[in-house]
Amino acid sequence: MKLLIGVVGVILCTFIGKILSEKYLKRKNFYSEFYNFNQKMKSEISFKQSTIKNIIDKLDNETFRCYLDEAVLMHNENLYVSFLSDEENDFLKEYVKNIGVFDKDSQLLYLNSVDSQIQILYKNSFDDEKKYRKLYVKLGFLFGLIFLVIVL
Amino acid sequence: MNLDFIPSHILSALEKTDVKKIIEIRFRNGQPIIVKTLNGRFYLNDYGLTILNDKCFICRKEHLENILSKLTENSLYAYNDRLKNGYLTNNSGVRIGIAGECVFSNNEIVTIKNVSSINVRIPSFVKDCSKKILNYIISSEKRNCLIISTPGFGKTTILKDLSIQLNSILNKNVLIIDERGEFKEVEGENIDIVRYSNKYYAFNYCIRSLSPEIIITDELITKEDWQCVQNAVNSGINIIASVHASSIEELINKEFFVKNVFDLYFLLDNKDVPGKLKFVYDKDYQII
Repeated sequence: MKLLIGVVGVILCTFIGKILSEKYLKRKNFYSEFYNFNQKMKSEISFKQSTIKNIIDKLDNETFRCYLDEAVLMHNENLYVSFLSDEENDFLKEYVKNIGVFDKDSQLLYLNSVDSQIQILYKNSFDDEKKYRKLYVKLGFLFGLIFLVIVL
Repeated sequence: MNLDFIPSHILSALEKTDVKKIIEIRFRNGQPIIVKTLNGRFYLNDYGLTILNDKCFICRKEHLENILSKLTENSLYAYNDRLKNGYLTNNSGVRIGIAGECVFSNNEIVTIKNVSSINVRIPSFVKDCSKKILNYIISSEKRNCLIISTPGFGKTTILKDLSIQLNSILNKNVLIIDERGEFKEVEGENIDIVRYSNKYYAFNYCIRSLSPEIIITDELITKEDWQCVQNAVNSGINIIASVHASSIEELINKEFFVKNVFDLYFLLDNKDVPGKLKFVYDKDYQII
């Protein structure tokens, strides 16, 4: 009986660790899509001049797509992405405010100016995900093992 | 007709009126919203049209920004070529004139920012309004025609009806050069439409590729416009066009006016009745 409770404890703690690490994955996917979006905007504006709605509709990441839908198309200024820091949320709001409001040349200038910043954010999110995601799962498993030892 | 770019409370007030009678809606920053109808000029409040300017809707900067972002689908860069010419057209052919601060670079306008006025011109389609003009064209077989009037007399409305009538009566290829997307309702088996292109490109590209027999185009303004028309007529293509002028004398004295291009000149008469003719002139500017 004690062994069974201990094993359940290990599984539960590992699962909690996995859930806590999910934000790093979400953050990485979000920034990956953000970076892709910025690149797509640049190429679409230069050649096809597609509208932002058309570009948004083609996005894969649902969280990022929904954010842009609300922020750009519905003009909702009170959005907050829970897995991003305050500073990152502010940057995102600033970005949204500055797309679709300029002529072609000025818009390209703006998109190019934020390109490196988005790239850094994506790289950081990628590194964090790599570093912390496995760590959280391992820590969860470790706590589970400690629980198992205590129970036994 | 799609007017969903207008803020919802203003649109619901407009819907309480007879929308078909509306000619234009004017939004000027900080000023009352003015609705021009066939019955006159009115202000707008929650209950519809009013002649009293107290408690009427006042246009705010947010209204102008809202209208602009909806018209450009939040993608100003995609519409900037039209915007810098001072107008946008929505998907049902409603023409929206825009005024604001013009931004120049290398002597060329780049864009318009801080928009301060928007004029929504509701397109009308008056069936058979071109009948009198059409009769002249058919009976005389002179098909190089110029429709003359000051703004707001229904030149575009006449050209739209004329396009449809010519499509059904004459079995000829009709090309419409629709610079501002105002001929949205027009279609037919003999009709080709080139939209949002300047006249220079449309004339040069289309004469070679589409072999039109009749070209219909709105508002000859620049020297290039007149030259394009002259070249087309010299190539044996018939032109039906319109121009802003209040009289034949004013037209002849225009800087870029080219003589011996048109066979018939139609001077419009009444602002409220599209197609009513004041005078018809022959190629020597004599009243017929």
